Amino acid sequence: MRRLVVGLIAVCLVVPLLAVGCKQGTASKTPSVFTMANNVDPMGVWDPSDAFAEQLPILFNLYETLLKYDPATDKCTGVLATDWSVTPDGLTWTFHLRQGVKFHCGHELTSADVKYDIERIQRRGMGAAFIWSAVKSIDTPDAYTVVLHLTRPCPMDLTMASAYGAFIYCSQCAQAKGDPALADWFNQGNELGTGPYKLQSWKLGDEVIMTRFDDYWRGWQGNHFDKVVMKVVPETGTARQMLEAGEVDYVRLLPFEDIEALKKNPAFNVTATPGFQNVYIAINTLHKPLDNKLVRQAIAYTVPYQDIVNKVMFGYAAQATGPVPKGMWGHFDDLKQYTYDLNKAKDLLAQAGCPNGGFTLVMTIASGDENHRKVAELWKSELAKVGINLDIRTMPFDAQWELAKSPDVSQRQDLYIYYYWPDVCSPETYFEGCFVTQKDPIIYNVSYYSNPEVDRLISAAWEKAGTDRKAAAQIYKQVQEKIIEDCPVIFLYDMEDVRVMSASIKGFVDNPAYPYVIFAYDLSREGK
Amino acid sequence: MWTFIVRRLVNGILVIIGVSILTFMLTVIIPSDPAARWAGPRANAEQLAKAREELGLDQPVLVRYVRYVSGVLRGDLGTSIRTRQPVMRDLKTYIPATAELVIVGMIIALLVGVPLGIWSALRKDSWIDHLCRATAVFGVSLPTFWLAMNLQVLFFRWLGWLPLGGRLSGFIEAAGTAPNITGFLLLDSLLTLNGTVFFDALKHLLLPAVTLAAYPIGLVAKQLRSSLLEVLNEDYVRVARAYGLPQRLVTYGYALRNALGPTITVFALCLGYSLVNTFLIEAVFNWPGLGNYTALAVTTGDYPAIMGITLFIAVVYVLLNLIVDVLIALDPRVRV
Repeated sequence: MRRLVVGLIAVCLVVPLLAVGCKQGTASKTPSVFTMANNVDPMGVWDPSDAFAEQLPILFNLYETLLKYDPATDKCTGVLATDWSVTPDGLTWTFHLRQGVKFHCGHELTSADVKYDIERIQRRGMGAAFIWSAVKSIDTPDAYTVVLHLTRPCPMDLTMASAYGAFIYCSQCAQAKGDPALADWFNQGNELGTGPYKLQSWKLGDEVIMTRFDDYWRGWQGNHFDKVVMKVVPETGTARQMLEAGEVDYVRLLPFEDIEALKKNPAFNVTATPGFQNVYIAINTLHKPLDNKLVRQAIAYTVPYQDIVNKVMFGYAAQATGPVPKGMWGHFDDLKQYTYDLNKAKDLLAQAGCPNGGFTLVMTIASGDENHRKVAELWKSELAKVGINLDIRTMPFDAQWELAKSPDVSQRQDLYIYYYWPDVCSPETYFEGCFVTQKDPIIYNVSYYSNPEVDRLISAAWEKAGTDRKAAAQIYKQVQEKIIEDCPVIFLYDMEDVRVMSASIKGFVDNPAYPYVIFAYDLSREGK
Repeated sequence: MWTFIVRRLVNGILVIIGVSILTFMLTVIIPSDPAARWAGPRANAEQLAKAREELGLDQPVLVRYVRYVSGVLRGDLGTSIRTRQPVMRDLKTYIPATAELVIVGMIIALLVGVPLGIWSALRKDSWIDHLCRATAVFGVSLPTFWLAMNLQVLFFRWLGWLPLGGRLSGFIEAAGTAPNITGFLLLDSLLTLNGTVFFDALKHLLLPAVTLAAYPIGLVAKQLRSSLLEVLNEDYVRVARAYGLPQRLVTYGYALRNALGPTITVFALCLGYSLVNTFLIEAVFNWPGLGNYTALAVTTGDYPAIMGITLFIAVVYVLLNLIVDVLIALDPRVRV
């Protein structure tokens, strides 16, 4: 028996050693690899028509859109389209496609692909399908021209550059599979893009490996990476150690304490760019006494904005001025801003008939969100000074979302803190999502705010945005003034996009229109 | 003997049915609408109704349960709301990584825990006994995450001998040369004679496996020590010694065999427990197993996945208990 055990152990040790000898002789040139660490597994939904969450950092390296938006210049640049135009009435948009672009499957990009992809997402109605709601019909007069006819004017250039729901994929392969088989095929970890990288492998909850697409239309003349790896690393302590050990080049999310420490290390670049993600506290305008505008304004004056920015966000944020974040068209610095002023709060409460407060507000926060918990704790002590008790309830994200949409209005929370960021890079995404009157379904208007004048102006601004963006911005300004006055939402802060990357990586420019997306094709490693 | 096994098997099946009912009911009463998650935040009433129909949520609870059970019997655990994949496929992806970790951890636990228990018992109250007992107490009482992080600091940061986490080094993953036959990397690399992958996988496995083994080492050592001491004080052992039988034969041939029963029970329970304990270890070591999948399933209200995982763990527990019962029942005294 003992001999048998010893023999087995020997085999276990010797065979791999022999194999090492056999395999190592076949080593070839090591590919250059860019490795990212993501705290959540972004992949699950691979269908580019349905993806509407964390998938962007992967999908934007596999797929491309017709246009790309640069908020710094407020201009769209052509990606799969070379030029585009709109009729004066804003109802017909024509896009000319780049010629000679190949999909990873080998087929060439034509207008039929664009038509099929938009019609499919409209048909499925999943994810960001709503961004195409104005499209009435699509013509393809030739292989490289797409004409979109709209039911109402809207900025279709921004829609074509949307972070969600605007990816172009091969219609020939897609049609060959047909729905619903196509969606299943995508979701098993397959793609049909034109992007610089194609999918090499995917292990659910573990990693995604992409390898360069040799026929990519922009070519491979520079020092581009051969492969891009995204590893799922949920534990931030582990992610930081991996970054410091050089096992990953970039970590998507780290606690601010870690970021501050890494900032002092010259081996890493920490960049902070004003982003388009902001944090709102929705006030339930259906509950008493919050149905009174004066009470809403009063509690907006009790928020310690600067303490939150400095102590909770470590300075990586700025107090918001209205719902549209700084850097996006439609943002105005000169809008009225609520500040921390307890005297004003007390005056307003007295005017509203509750001079000493004397009521309790229920605020829900998503479990695991430390920043929001800290915000709530800081605010609670300030509200107590005006006699208002804040009852903080931590619950899973989905549960608080369900609560906010509960058919029984009395069950809904009084205050709901949440993040918001754009799909189509336009103020519309904030207004249409959070401030337009909504009953069925409630989308993101969880303050249940309803103002017909605001609804009308929002609609007018969007129709103007396709042909006269300046005029649209002015209408959005009026909308914001009304919303700030009505105070259905406390605009807490606009977040900065903080990225920590190895200092050896060059070429990274953050684009807040595409949250958390690293366009790996633009990067290179110094000295390679 | 067969009657005993059948009785235990029936008990096990009843437990699994009970677990399935409880889990199913939990998913019915939790305040979350899976259809809303499936259809997306902007779904209108019509789209929500369609999603409910697709997920079978438009049916009465009893019908849904019967459908679920009949699906389970066909190997269909439903479709994950988060990953949109069949839960069975997801589990097949994650289970090998977790199973490999648990198996190696348990082997380490046996290789260390059993000798510790025996030495401790044979040299009662000596310094070796104190050392073994202290080791066992440490193994049981150290928080898993604390041990995991300290091992990382020692072996990765200070000594640089072992990797921080993951199952394989980045260069192997990027090259795509890792074999995938069974999902067990050590086994697959042996089958394909890929030594690079084997040693790399082994290096990645060591720290999480040792962390996982710490608790069972302590329990096994403590249990074996006390059982062995009890047996060594039995009359028949004294008689055997009086007859002049060799000490080695008395200890290992007679006493140890009789002391192993309770230890096997404890070990089996440890094995089941480790399947859950590994979740925390997986998070610290970034091990792509069931832990992360479970955590995400719970936080996102992915009820088909939660049910699938719970059912899997229940089946493992029941099977382990059955095996232990059968092993112990080989001793005729127990069956009586």
